[in-house]
Amino acid sequence: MSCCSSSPESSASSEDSATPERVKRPPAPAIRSEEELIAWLRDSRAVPGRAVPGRAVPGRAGQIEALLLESHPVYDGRGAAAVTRMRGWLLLALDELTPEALPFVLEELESSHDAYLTAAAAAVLRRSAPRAEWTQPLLSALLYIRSRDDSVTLEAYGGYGVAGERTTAVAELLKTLEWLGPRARVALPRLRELRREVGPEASWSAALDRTIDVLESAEAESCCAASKPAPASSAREIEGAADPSSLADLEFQDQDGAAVRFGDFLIGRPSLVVFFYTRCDNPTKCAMTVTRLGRAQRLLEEQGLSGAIRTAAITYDPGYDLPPRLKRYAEIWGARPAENHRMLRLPEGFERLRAHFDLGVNYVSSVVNRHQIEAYVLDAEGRVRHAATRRQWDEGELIARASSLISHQLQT
Amino acid sequence: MSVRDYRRQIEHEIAQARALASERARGQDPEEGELGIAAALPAEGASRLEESRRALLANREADPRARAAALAGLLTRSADPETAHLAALERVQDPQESAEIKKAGLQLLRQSAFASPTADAWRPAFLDAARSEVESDDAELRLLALEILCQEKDRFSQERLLAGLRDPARALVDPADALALLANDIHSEVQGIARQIADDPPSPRARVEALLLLSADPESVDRFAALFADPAEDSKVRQLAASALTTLDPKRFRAVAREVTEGEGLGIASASGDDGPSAIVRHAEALLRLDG
Repeated sequence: MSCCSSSPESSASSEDSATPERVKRPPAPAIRSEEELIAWLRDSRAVPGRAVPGRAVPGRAGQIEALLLESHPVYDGRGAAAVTRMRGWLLLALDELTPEALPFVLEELESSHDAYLTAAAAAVLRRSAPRAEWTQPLLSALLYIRSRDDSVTLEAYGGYGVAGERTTAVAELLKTLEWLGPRARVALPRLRELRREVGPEASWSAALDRTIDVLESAEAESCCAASKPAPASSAREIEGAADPSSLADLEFQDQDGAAVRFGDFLIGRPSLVVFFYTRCDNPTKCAMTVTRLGRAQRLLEEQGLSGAIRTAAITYDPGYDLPPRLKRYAEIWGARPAENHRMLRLPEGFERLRAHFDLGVNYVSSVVNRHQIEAYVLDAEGRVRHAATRRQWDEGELIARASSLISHQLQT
Repeated sequence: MSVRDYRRQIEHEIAQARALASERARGQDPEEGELGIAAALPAEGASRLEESRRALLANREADPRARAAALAGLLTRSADPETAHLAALERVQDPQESAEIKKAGLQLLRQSAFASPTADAWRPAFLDAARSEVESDDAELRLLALEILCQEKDRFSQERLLAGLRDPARALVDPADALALLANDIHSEVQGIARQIADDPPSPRARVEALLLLSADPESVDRFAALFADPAEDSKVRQLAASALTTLDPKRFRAVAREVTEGEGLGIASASGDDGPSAIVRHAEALLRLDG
């Protein structure tokens, strides 16, 4: 077999994220507290950090993935720190990377700003068969987390470096790139640049040297040099999405304080809907989402579709995100509110909206404690037809998907 | 994080980095100059100067202020900026080192983190060094370590502070300080505790810290409206409540502010001074003007 081909042992593929929604979620374990979660993992799995494939208790497949959904009640009312502790331990308890688990792992590489979650995600990848398409998320994580790196342990609950054998996010990322070997060759130019940037005294410069050496020798020996994995689709098609007509009466308020009904704005034309909140402190999530939305709006304008496809950015935090805040956030991050393009808050009935979209968000008191990245393409009936969740999405692709709905509408 | 907070943070970081750069350019550490250390050290060259600083730092019998100044010199005017942090890290990590020098080391590392070309690489060791001091017997050192960590939204220190607020026997610092430290991260679990403390405060300062923390909590609108409208309430608390209300619910603020200016305005027309009802009315009027 070629060193760069897919391994039959690998159960996870980037293609899985692009296939129509067909995942039947297993019932989520009825866990309500952090203590119960720790006990459940202890009783049902190998100790996280030392997971051994095949040791999971039969019948519990998919339950860790169900527990990783932000909407699970175990995260209700917990601070972001507790959510991070729990999610890190859950990731480390994954003893194989199923198609359902992989997006949670890659999500942390692409958008975590906590060194513990990044380190856990990088370490968990090494429990599967290596794949070239993981190089880019690993490299992105390395370039982002290096300025937020921290001492962590993957062996003790909480992940605090003072509690067990220490590692860091950067160390785990380099180890995983090294483990990818020839599949990670495309990272070499950037790793060499990084080597020049960090200087010889950096605590991880030796590890970086080793990774570069391994990839360079792989480059020399490789049977398939310079192959770059094709970019994966960032969205999946949704079949049989819920009927949105019951939401028609929901009344949003836009960035100027104007009232906008769901039925008037999100039914009648296809639309691109994203979720965000202005108090998000992770620049790779909400700020990036609204920036991408701005790019999508420009694309629509360039393609003459500005009036045919609407866009909406809906806040997870309607209590705090009052119209002036929405307006300012759009200005700062490059979105351009207009008649067909609104920043929205839903003062009443947010729970109905949350349930309809099955939003990946949870709260501590009145503040978001964790959310996924999520963007949806709705058809002219307001039904969700495409979803890009957890991973970074591509505005060109979502606009193309929304445009195809117009063509479909015209044909029918 | 709001854009305004993000900008403020960046501006703060830039200001700190500029101050450090300017200090380096002048080649004069004010503290070292004050203590006469620079003058006392041999001037045969940078390496001799650095050696002398190291010798002074290693001498535990020396005046702690002089040792701290030597440490500052090593960090801010080292010939090798890539390794300058090591001296401070070593001092903070040394269990036998005095609290004075550890405090100086942590402060210097905090400042250097903005300017050092290798800060990314030693950040984990720096944060671990701070974590090792959160239970220090020295209250100032403990607070400094927690400040450093909480500014980084460190989960370890948040967990310890929350535990202390729930169980005073486990408290590392007093409740007011714990609230102020936890306020660095709006995503922590502190809001619920802050509401309890605002209702039943262990001290006036803890109450103010709790209210400050709740000033971005949409569920606290009624609380702030009531505080703002209450003429018997402390004037600083009323000003805080008025500001919080403008953030959380401008309409409600306008309604309460009109009541305050109409109801209390006439009665205090002749009052003077910066405290008391007249200050509240002026504050309300000023905010109303800003609010349009």
